Amino acid sequence: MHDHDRRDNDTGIVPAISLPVLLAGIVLPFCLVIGGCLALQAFRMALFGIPLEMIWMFACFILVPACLTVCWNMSPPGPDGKQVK
Amino acid sequence: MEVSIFLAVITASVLIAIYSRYRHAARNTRDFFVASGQFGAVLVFFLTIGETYSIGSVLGFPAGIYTQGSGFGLWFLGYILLSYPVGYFLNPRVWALGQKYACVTIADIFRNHYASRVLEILIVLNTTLFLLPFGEMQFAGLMVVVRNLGWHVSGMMMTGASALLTLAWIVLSGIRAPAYVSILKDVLMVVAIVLGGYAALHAMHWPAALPPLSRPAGGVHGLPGGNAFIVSTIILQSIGLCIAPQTVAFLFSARSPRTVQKNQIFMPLYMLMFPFLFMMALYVRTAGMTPASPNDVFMVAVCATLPHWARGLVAGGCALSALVILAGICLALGPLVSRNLMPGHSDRTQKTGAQVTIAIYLLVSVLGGASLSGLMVMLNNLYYIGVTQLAPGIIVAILNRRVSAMPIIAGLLCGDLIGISLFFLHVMPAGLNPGMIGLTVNALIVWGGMVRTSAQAT
Repeated sequence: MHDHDRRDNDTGIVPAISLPVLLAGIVLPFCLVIGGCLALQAFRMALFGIPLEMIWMFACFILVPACLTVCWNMSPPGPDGKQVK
Repeated sequence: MEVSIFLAVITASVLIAIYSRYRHAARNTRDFFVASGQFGAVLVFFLTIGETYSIGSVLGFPAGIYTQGSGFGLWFLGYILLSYPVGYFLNPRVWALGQKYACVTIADIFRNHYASRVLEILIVLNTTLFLLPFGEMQFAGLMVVVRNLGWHVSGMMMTGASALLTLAWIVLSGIRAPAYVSILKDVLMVVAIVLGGYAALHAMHWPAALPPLSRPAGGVHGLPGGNAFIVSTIILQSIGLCIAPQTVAFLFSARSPRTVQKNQIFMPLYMLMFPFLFMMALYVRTAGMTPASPNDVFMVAVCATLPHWARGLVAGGCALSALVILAGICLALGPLVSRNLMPGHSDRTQKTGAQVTIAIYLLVSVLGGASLSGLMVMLNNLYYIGVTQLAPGIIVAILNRRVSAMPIIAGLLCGDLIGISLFFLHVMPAGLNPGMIGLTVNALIVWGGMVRTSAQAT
């Protein structure tokens, strides 16, 4: 085990933030988690003894990485001057 | 049997810490505390994800579900989960600030960007004050584990030995010790939680026979302040988790900002263990068990369902969990004092000063942990109220706006004062988290300062 793994050959550049990236990366996860859970909480229903809002929260453990993956693919790092080095 | 396995886990952690020193003996202060920014994706991942499975989370989450039902789960899981999208955008930029100013601590950002000694000292005092209960929390959790396993070891002896072990790790190889040990710790925690959760499911005959999780009396979720409290707490703490002093120090240890950003994508998947913890709380509740305190729920489920060898594994995992988090806090705190509070010393003196600070902090935490009572969540709330007040200052630095230190100082003081006062007075305007009110006032003051600076420039 080394401090830096061998596949760790990232460019060291972070892409600038755009509106679609913000929507996919921040707004959508917050809406899914907070909005979805609070909406389902109002139904006061359970599946196999587990409240629906908790099941949705557990599903968000997959949905949020999906949103961030979309976000990652929308913003490949390039050499333009807007990027943060 | 369980004691043997526990001791084997602790021995393994010491061997790993020695190995980490053998691989890379720390050369200077920056290397000792942030590994000279050389950590790759794996080590940064395990360091930063550590907070998810701290002993506070593992004991606190089932405790909250047991006492307050699913509403607790919403804010608790919600803030951890949403800290990853926040961190996706924030963390690489904080890393970039660290590179720009060659930072070791969070206070270095403020010192370099705002060029204010007063602000630097204020940041140190603010973070130190709010990190103090966090160390005690780890020891209090450790004592819960030992008490439930029925080991005839005094709490003080156990926490004292743990503090010594933590100090030994740190002196051996600085940040590398907790980074390498955290891999073992996380593997153990995952195994322990899956084993415990599966055993609880089996004992409950789930899903065939399980009554719905009853709602607590007095509301849908049993939390004061209703949905406004849940939402404001999630927002506050998801920001706070990203800019906590120890998280920022971990970010500075990364080699590249894209590594930091990419890790944030995978981190939520690591939370897939929480359903098992949920099941353990459900099991204790439906089986009619009566834990001595809510914090005992996890260990009551473990002791009721798992064989002795597995309990040893759980105890080892919990102990490492507490100690890795503690080591991270110590490594954030030590240089804050030796570097930011007492600047101007040589590299060697800074390192020694930090180690002395860490030793004192551990001693205070051991003594505090022995007398700690009540739900850990209360301490958790106070911690985030204070730590999150650093956010406006960091965001202004990320935006590279030139603002005088005065609005940052004023915002920080007002945010702290309002948040803590409201917390202790149990006042929640519109049901909002007191820390959120403080943060809003803080942000408005900083924004006012930005507007004024812009107006003066034109």
